[in-house]
Amino acid sequence: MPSLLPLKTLADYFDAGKRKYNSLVSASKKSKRFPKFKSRKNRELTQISSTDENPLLLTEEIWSMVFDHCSPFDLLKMRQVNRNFKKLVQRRLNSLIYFDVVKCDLNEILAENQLSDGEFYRHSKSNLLLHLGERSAIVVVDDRWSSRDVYTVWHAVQTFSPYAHCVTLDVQIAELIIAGLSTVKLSRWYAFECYVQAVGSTSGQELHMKCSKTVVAKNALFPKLRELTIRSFPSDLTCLSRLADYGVSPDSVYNINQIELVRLNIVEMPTSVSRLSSFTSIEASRTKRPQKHLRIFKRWIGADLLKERYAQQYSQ
Amino acid sequence: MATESANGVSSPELNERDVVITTNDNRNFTVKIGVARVSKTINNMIQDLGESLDLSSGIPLPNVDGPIFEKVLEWCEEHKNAPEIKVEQDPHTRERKWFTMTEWEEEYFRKFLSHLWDLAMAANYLEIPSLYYYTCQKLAERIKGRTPEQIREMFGIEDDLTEEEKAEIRRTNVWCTY
Repeated sequence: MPSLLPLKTLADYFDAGKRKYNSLVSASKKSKRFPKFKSRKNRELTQISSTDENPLLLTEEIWSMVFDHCSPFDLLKMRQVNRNFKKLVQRRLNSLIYFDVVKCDLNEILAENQLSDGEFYRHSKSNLLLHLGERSAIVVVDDRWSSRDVYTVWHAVQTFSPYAHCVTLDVQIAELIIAGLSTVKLSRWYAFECYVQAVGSTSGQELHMKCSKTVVAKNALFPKLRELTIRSFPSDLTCLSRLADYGVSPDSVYNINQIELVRLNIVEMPTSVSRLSSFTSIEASRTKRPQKHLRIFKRWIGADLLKERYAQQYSQ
Repeated sequence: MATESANGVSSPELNERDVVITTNDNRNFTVKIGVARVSKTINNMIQDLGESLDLSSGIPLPNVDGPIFEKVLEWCEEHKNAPEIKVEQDPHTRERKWFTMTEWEEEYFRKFLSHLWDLAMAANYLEIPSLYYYTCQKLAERIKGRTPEQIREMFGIEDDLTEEEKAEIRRTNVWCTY
């Protein structure tokens, strides 16, 4: 999916209206980076050596600072070092609020042979970038994804899904997640996706992958989810109607009693913008019978049941 | 930095005076007060003790040993007039930006590469933000791309995870190395 907004602008956009979470979390944060100067008597008790009464407090502080400078891939691996490291990394993951998965041209974010710009880190083998901030995780997968990339994204989603409160997904990613939750093998789903691309947008719109089995999930993939935004270009609305094909209900994605907002964001493509992938064109960006796709999606997501918690947003 | 005098002497003049600092291995270091004040902990001691500060009998540092303090002093000498370090964050992501080090600082860490851990501990206790943040950044550079086993070995960390726990983490992390 071609992206119209640079990711940094996107992060700014996500921040709008969500500051209450930040302020809540900041208010609960009481630790101070440096210890206050203590009287000599008290200071005598604070040993740094191995005979320290409470060495972990200091060590955690330093490690936490070290982790601030680690790449997200390294950070996730740190959990394997020992219990203390695991706890520190887990604490960071627990403080996540926003999780965004974007499909776009990676070169728009990082130059082809650049491994990192300090914000986004390139995966060693897959066409994927990862950003892990204090409150947000962003996964970016390349427009021209491979079968391996599909699996990597799916596992990345599973890693961050238990912690996210506000999730924004490009519509192709939403379809990938639903396929991942279904009984369909992701390699087969990827082959289907390639076929849809190959036959072209006009014929591809009517192609559906039917799943015979219905999946009844024990737990929702995003157990803490409060806001779900699915972002789509008009040309990708067919993905929306395909979500209903996999035998996966929205209950498998989020807790219906907990969700506060399901937002469908349809991004209209300005005619002047030509950031389309090589295989698409302005002509192809039109979808036949968009209302039909929207109707199927709304029925699947249960827009009637969600009532005012379902919103459809059009933006440029 | 303090503007008030400790012994009724003006601040710039006081900064030029020597003070004896005693480390936990009973080593005495004669240091210019201006240099010692790079450490907020020592600066606070000087301010708190005020008139009662006896420059010759010295300030005890029971939590830092001599060889490490020697290295810390080298840093303080170089940074005695340096402005306070600025920790910058990206306004959108709130992620801390990496610091750019000078050639001297790079050389300093190259020289004391095997003492990064001790330096971080000492910088934390002595409240020297520049040394603390930079050392942590260097530690992060060192563990970049290392396996958990290598990190454990490097820092002498005990492996207290059960095999089940490790297998579970490995399973969830498998996508990081696909």
